[in-house]
Amino acid sequence: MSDLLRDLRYALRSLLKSPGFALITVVTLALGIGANTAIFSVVNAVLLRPLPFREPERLILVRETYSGGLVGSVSGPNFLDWQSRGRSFEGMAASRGTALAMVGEGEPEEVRGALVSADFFRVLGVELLLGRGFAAGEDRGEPSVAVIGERIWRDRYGAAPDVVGRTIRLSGRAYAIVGVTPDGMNYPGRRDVWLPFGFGTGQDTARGSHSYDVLGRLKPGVDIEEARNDLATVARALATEYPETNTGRGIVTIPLGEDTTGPARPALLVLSGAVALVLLIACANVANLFLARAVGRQREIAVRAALGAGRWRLARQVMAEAAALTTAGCMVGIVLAGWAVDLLVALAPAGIPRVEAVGIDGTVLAYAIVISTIVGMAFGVIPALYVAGQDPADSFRGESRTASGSKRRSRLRTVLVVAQISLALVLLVGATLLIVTVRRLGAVDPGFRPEGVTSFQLGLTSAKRADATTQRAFLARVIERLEAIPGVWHAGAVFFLPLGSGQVNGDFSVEGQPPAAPGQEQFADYRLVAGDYPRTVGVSLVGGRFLEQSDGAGAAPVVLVNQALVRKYFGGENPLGRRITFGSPDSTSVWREVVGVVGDVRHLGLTADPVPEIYTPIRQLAPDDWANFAEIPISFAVRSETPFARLAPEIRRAVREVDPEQPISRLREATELLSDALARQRFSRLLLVLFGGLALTLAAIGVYGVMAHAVSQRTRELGIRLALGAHRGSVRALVLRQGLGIALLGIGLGLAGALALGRLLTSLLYQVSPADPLVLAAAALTLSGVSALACLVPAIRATRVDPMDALRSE
Amino acid sequence: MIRLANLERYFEAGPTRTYVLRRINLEIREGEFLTIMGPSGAGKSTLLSILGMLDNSWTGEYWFLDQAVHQLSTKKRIELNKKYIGFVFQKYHLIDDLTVYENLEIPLSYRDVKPKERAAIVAETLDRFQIVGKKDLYPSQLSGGQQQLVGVARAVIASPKLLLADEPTGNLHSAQGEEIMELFTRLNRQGTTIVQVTHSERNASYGHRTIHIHDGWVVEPAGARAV
Repeated sequence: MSDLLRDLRYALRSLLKSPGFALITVVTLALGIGANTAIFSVVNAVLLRPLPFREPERLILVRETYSGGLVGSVSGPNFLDWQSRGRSFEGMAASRGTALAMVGEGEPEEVRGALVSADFFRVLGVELLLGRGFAAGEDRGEPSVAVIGERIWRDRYGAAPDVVGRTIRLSGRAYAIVGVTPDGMNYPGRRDVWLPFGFGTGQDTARGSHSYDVLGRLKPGVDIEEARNDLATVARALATEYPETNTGRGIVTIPLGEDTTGPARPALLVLSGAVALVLLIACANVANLFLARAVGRQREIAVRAALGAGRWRLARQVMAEAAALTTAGCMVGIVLAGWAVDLLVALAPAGIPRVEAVGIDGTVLAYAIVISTIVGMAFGVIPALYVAGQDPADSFRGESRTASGSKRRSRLRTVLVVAQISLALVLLVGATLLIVTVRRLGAVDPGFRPEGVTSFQLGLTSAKRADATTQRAFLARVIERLEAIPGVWHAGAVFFLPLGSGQVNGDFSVEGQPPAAPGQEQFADYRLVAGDYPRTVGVSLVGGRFLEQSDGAGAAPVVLVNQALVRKYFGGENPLGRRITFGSPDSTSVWREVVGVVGDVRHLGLTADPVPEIYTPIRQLAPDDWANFAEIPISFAVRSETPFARLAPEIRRAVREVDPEQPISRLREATELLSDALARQRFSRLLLVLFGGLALTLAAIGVYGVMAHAVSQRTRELGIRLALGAHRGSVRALVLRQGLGIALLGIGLGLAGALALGRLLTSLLYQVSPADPLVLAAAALTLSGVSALACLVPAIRATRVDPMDALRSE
Repeated sequence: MIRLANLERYFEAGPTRTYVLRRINLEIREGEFLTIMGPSGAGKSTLLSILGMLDNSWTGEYWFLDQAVHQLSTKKRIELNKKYIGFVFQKYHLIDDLTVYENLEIPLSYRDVKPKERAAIVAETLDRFQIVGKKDLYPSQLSGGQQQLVGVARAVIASPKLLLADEPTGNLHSAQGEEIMELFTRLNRQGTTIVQVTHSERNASYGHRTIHIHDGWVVEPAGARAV
């Protein structure tokens, strides 16, 4: 033990005498370890840490499938049947998001709420901080109790221990608080309040209305496959019992963990791979530095051997230095990771689950220590083996006879640099692919013009607005008030703005076409709009007309359809004047005339193809149909010449004038919809470019080191060449050729690696193949150029060799 | 103590074999002070490295204290080196980053001498070589003579039976050189077998016997004074 400590002490002293070497090594390692630790902290929080529920692996989501393999929400009656007939579940719960208004001091606040079935908390297996979940029967009739989240408990109630039993007023209604959930209880999504459903009070009795998320807890020992088969059997039985609504309906089961983390997984795995490559490159660089240092210490090592040091002791001395440097690199890396994590969380695109839990904790620290140990071994072992394998007699003999050792060392260093270059190329290709992807996504026409548009969201239901009439009147008054703001050209509203914020869809029939067989219905996304929405957001009119003020409740029902719908269901024929109805036609059907065809809008995201859409005026919806949507927060759009900063307070004032207790949320410029849609790729691009740049720099340092060493080794040869009349340019070319030879070998291997690993990036790419020849060529050229630059200094130095000095040194 | 029979050392470069030592037959008795002389590149230092078990790429027979070194593994040879052999180098080869004390301690640590015992031996050696005052200095703070004194002290601190010295006074001025040679003579009288490589006739005169090597061959076998 004391010997080990002494080795460490000597190592530290020796490193302090080479501060440049120590600094470069520690910085290189810190960057590698820091980047890995930072990304791991995200991976740990998002992907690895178990969900904060009891036995989360037993939780699965169940969704319904319908025509064409589409997956969607579940109808209330179907959920109740699954709950009562399914045999694989310990319990099943349903939930649905809602927006609620909380009024206190200052601005009214919108809180994100969820309506849930009574046994929701029991099924989820969450331990409440205070109080209880909902009791059986509390989800029937008008809800009167609420469970609040920790954030509200702390912010609004000062973490009062006696909060249970107090009353909370939400959207004008009073609820008795019965429990408090802990932070991190993010199902369904981030919520602040949970209310029981009012089963039996609304459209939940309609089997054709699908708006619930269903969660099941498997019985112990039951696997997801058994559960799927079990529910599929129930679904088939329901299809027989209710052919009109359930024919063609199937089920799909997804583990909750997979659903929560799924969208973030590919990017995080790619980034983990990228930082691992950076670390490998850093290791190769440090191993190279150690090898170079070993040359300077050859004599010392030989002396130690002559004094009786065994190979293990010699290797141990090198390993002690590696350990000291790794420890320093690890500590600095953890500090860097701490900063990087803050930056990552700040830059992370919306939608990364559990991102608020990202941080440096015990697991992350343990990870940093483990990778540092592996790194220390990885870069320490190579020079240690080299040192241990050295023949001490070589070092005591003249330079001329050490050629074999020197060649071996040079070969080893070259191999390390080739590895660095090839790994750097893989990263560069990845970064370039994402640069191209973001560029191409940026060039995608979203189908609307967000410039000059401001959007925000409101919840429509409250105690004051309990029915369709009052809700729609409120909606109309808000639009009217918005239109009255000076500088506003158009204003309108819609359920779900473009680019992936949500969708409402259903089947429809076209007059004159034979009715579709059950399970073969025509589906479209419903855009339920108010005011002058299509014109406001800049949807293009292809034929016919837009919706007008005159298309009111009493007027003939009308709709707009998009080009995708015309292509798919009208075979490209002119649909103007044709009539459609929602659902299957019967005697009560309302037929709506197609009065306009609009351009396709990418509602589901920039990378998703446009889907068939029907724009319907909200004013022409029957009260029963409206009830399906009343709980969903509605989005407003305002097109104005007034800059956002001046318009926003005007919008707030306008809404307050209609209802002083109405909170506004997501008030922002609509261009943010586009930037949000690009955020995931932009984030991945930023990090990959950063890691690619780091890899490029490290690889360039590696090439420079090897070439500088090669030139110093060839001083005599270069001196002879110059003495024999070689042109300085040819000497420079000689060195450059050698350096570029190494680089090209690395690039060749890197291209093979990039082709092999590129498919892992596929899910992040858009309109660019992982094997895109231009991308591969650009990355290879960049790396060749940087390698050439790295060779240039040693090459120039080679031309400055004084032939006489070079020959005298021998 | 040492017997070499037909020992050869060569380097191979492609089809060419370059001999550094040819058919060396040599016997060194315990307590002897042997000098090896010869022009540069004759193979003297190579022979010293082989005797010190630092060079393992040779053919022939090497007997050391009745053990057939040619049949031993590298590990066993290192063990022999550790146990019986000390080295003194022309360029001293003290380890720059270590103090005098630590340089002396190194061979003992490689021989797994316990720390307490080690401290006692180092203290005794510092005293014996009269360098107590220098124990905390680094090699760069010492003169050439002082460095070589420490080099010799380091070579003998583990009480080797055989001391191998490669041009031990090569970098010293004559007075310092004589001091070192006197020291060798004293160590030899105390029972240490010494083999030195030198170009100096004067240094050779301190030994009992001199052999000459030329182009790898021993050209002038033993002709020397009595032990």
